[in-house]
Amino acid sequence: MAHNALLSELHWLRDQVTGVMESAVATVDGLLVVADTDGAQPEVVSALAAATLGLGKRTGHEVGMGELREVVIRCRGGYIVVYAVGQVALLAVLADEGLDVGRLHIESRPAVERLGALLTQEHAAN
Amino acid sequence: MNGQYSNGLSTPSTASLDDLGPVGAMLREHGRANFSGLLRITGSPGGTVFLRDGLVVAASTPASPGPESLLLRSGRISEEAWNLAFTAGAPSGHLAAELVGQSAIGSAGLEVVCLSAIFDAVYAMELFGVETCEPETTGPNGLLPPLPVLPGITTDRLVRDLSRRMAMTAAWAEIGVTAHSRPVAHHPIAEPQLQAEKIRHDVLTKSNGRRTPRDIAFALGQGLYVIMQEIASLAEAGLLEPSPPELRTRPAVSAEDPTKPPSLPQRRRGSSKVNKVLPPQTGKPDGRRPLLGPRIPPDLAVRPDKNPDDEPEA
Repeated sequence: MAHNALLSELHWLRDQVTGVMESAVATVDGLLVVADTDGAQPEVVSALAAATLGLGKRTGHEVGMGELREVVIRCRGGYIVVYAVGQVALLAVLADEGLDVGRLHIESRPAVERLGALLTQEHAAN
Repeated sequence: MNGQYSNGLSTPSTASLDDLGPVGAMLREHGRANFSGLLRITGSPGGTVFLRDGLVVAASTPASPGPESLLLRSGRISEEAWNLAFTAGAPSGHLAAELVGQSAIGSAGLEVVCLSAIFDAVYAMELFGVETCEPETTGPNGLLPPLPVLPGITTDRLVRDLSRRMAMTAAWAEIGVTAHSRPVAHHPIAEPQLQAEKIRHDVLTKSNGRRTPRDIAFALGQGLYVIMQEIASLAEAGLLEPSPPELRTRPAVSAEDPTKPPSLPQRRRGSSKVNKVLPPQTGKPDGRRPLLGPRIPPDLAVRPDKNPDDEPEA
């Protein structure tokens, strides 16, 4: 089932990348699709990540830096990284301050591709 | 290692301390060559070791908390004091002097934390496995991480401690406590009476089946080795299950009903479920907030609106 396939991708990311704690997939307008969260409120993370992504895209466009790769927010206690998944969805990753940033950048690209493929299947099935 | 540690927490014999793991061998080689620069150690996740004239002055890895996490997450230093000292001291490389100068922490206390972070980082790299080591010469003025230990630790001392820790770790593996286990507390324990028991209590609280020892170390701002030791001791006492067979103990949160065919959620009234998570403030009969006017988060203390004298002057 696509739902479980999405969730396995999130588990896989947490297992592969040191420091990743929680993650969520949401639609680009901020509705939760599936989440692997612990303490964070997935609905709220989804909505805020959508706003973050929009802001990042718009800012990048405004200053002429080309296509958005991801939005990285760094706080004392960790990172929030938001990726666009195709045109319809997004991936939000919450990590602690020890995050292996280089590893995340390498592993997240294929993960985003696979999530995109799974979501497009869903989209097409509608 | 060999099967001689049937009793999980026994002290290892000195014979096994001569075993040199890959990280130990890398450190010893470059220490003896009086290397100055950094060693980029690849692995899962690997890390970086900084040396000056063959002495290790800093080590960082995603697998164990660095000095900043140890100081801030554990509450040894306040966020405010850290920010002040960092702004004043970090650009010139005098963060440690600033922290001590502002009486945020004593110099001995700070050195203990920074030293333990190095020992812990080296242990974490060895524990998680390393592949290659690339030395990079930086010269005497190369950039160091914010809190180096100067003049540094001899690699022999580090290697000795590393062997001891790895021997203990091998004993813990026999009761199922490894770097990759995700322990689950059997049942919550009462608030600790003694300060010394606090870390046991905290480790149990964080053991929810999702976190590895490394994750718990970051969450608590404690060293990885200390946390592994605590988990092993709690497992021996029967208070937690070191590696439950089913890792995913918590159900996933999903907007979908998994029994229905999958589909992306559509934006309709109420579909974000955000009102369930952040209940709207009452005041209007239908529970909706007014469309105009600022929305004030419930956790922000605000002055009552009715007294206009309290308004800030323009």
